Amino acid sequence: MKEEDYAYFADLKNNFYTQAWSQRLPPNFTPEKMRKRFQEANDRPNSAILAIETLDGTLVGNINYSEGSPRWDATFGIAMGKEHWGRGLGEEAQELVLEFLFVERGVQIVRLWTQAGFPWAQKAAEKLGFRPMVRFRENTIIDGRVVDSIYMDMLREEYYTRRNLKDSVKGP
Amino acid sequence: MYRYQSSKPSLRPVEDADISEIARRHSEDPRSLSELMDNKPAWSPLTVAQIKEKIAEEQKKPHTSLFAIYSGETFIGMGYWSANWDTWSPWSWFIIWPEHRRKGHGTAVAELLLDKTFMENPGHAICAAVPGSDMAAQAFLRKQGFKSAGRMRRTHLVEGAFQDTEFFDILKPEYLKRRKGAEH
Repeated sequence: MKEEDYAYFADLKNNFYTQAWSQRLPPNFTPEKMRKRFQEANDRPNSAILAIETLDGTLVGNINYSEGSPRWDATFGIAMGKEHWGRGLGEEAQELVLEFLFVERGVQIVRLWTQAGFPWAQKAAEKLGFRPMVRFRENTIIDGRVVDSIYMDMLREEYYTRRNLKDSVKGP
Repeated sequence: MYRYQSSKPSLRPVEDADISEIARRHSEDPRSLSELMDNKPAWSPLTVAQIKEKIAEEQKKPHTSLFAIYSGETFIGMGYWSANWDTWSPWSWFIIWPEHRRKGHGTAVAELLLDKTFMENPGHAICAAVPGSDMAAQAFLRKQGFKSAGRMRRTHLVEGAFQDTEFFDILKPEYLKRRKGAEH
């Protein structure tokens, strides 16, 4: 993470389309606040927030993961500037983190949360292989509408099968 | 739907005398209280002091209540209710000690908590979670009007096999309809 990245991340956090999967946080994030937030997340064991940068050095967003029980399960999320949507960058960043979690960490399941107000988010997750498993009806308010919250997950064997990879570390 | 056909349960603060009892029950079956204790690993035994500390930590969270459930002067269980994440969709959990089950207490407590959620809090939806293998708990929730919301896979491991968690929810209009029906 570079010092100048935090201003961009503050902008992402202050934008209701990119800030969070369900909560509407007040748009008062500053670079300093983001730095502190990222520091705290990166100080926690088995969790990280990482900047997403293209090969030419353009910052496009951030991706985070947090293991619940180490090497058992992880929850992850992504925030990207709208100007970079639709170019496959988010998918590529998520694939890298999924590879780290399943292949390097050996987790059994990866989880994510989204909500029905942004259908593109669920579609993007399904493209990676996530399955919608729990739907909490009318659970949150987005853009002035009451929408459902959606929990999705991907099992280890689903990750490996979908990508035609061999799994040498299967777990219990 | 009941309307307090059992003796009306009361929700009380968890006092020191209750904590001793909670610790005893936890030592007998750590898993049953692991969610409440946010205890990892779930099978891990806790001292009385640790339980007291965990309860105190939970009580510090805003819009959160951790309470003892009494029927008369008998300590019959404990529970948790929190709108810390979102007042619109709180989260609640409770347990009735095994020897006090099948007496209507669970239904009475569920009604009480649903009243708290929708009649004394601006909630619109409340969810509950039970182990995927606990058919009795799932049947209980359905009987209270909850609808299945889905299943979170591989939430824990028991005797070498992955276990899932089943989620349920109920919306305020659904609850009010049931409540109105019970009053007539």
